[in-house]
Amino acid sequence: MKARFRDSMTWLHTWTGLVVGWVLFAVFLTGTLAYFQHEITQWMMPEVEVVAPPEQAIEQVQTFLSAKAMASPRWSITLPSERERVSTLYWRDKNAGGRGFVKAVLDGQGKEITLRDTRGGNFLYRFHFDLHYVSVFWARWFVGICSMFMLVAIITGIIIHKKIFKDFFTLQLFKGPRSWLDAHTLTSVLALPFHLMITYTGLVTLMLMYLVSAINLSFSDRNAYFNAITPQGIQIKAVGEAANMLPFSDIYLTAQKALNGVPVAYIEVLNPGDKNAIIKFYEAPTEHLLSDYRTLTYSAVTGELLENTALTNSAEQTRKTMINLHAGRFADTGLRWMYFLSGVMGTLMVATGLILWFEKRQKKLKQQNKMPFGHKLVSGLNAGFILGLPAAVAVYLLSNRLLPVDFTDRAQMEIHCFFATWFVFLLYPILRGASKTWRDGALINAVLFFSIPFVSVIMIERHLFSYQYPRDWTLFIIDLLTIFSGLTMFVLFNYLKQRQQQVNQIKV
Amino acid sequence: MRKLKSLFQNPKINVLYRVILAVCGGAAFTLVATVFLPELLLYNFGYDKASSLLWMMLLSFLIYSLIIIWVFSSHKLFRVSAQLLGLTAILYISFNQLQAVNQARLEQINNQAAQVKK
Repeated sequence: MKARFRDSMTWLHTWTGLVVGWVLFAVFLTGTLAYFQHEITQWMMPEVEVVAPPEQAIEQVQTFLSAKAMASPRWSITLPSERERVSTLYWRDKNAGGRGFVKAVLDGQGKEITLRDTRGGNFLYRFHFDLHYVSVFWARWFVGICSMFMLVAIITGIIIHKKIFKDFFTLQLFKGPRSWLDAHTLTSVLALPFHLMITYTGLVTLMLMYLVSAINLSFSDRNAYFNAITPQGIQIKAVGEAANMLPFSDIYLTAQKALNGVPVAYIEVLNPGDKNAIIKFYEAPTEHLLSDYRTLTYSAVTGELLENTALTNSAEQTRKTMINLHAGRFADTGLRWMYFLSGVMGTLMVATGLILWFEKRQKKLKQQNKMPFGHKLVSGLNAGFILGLPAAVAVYLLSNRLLPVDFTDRAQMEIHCFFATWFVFLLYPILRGASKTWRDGALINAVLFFSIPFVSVIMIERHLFSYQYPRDWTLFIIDLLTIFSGLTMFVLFNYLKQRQQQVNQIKV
Repeated sequence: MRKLKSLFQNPKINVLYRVILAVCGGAAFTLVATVFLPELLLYNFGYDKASSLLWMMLLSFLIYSLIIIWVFSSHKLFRVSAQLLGLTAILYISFNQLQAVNQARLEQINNQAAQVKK
């Protein structure tokens, strides 16, 4: 395409990066926050103070579901764990509308949480591949295509960047486009293995959806394929005879012993209340990167172990391990922070790349006294995304504290607040121009983030000045992080202000 | 032919064609390569098709990226198009043939097993 191989790679890198850069920025930012999704949820549910140990929680769950959901053929249960404080339940109810799924969240006392209804950190997690307001199917395809662009951009980025080590010693900060290039290089290279891993494994997480045509071509029956890959559990049908189920907590303790204490990812109860009721425990891959993904199936009536399966297919093991690597489910606190910091690097890599594209052309265009529409669009979108998304996150957290606790459709309203803020930031450049958006936006971000812990002080009883340790460490650190984000935004604002003053002086 | 050549020298059309070739041609090639190799491995060595298909799917994103890079880096657009699309066609036909042969073999084995049972 270009005369030299490297030049055509530079072209490819620039354009694959720019076209989907903003989407990638949003995906990276929310995905990075999703590494702490359970902690964010804890922060957003300050009324949940007591955590029930799992064997007690499953008892509460059984009582709750026996009273509410005996008609459902299936219950899905997630118990509290090291990071999660609540039990989450799903069952089917024909009268529920939609696809007929009902969800309930139980606190440490086994009561359903109805006040301060929130999606918590889970919204950020879902948004990073499902987006919002659009069909999940198309959103996933869209994010997948963007990830493919990202993969090409990373590979071409490595090709065009030969002097990886040399550049560290010639780092130049605050010197225009050259510095933006250095910043882009620094954030890319420092966490390069992470960027490659996260993009590739991200594609792998939804691979069976993206490559469904390959499966259809290869196997006439798609189910035959899945049956060949994963061990199929025994199929047990309800007989229609009612029977009393054993306390789940007993079976849970037996299963825990059988799993050598490895946590359970989730529990499934089929045909509850029937003579053929069974309860399945799925092993969680949270202890190690490699896991056997064992499934234990017990009769819920007799407590007899009916089946114990493990994943044996090595290709499927690899796929699951790649997914675990992406989601960092196995990571302990230290490694989780490394994941988080690498994610921040990735977010900055995308942001600096986008700014670099703009700055490089800015000078040239100014000399020629031209301002094409595409250039303006990029500058506006840059400001609207790079400052708009953090602000949206801040408002999402703020709305959690400020909206009345019994507001109808509260969880959804928090999400509307998130998008409304982002939308305002996208409109802002049209009204005020991009450079003012940067300055104002940084200040608005600083104020928003700073105010989060103090709004908590006014609105709720569990806050910065009343925390009890060690129970409230997680909340404290999140408050601290919001203050730190506010500070960072304020430093950015100050820098932008000074630069503007310098520019004005030169003009005078 | 000369007219066509000058058309492709127009940078906009050239880029547009490359994008379509890389995205669609690359996807078609990747898809066919992903399903072809498992059939070949089954035919020659009796490897489990489901597993090798899964391995190929895991690799497919890498294959796709390399094809895209190849299409964008080449100087000879006509040659690349012919090679990519030609290879895709050959792989697709071979895949179909192999699948039919493998299917027939499987049926034969199943029939024999059924007769032994009787």
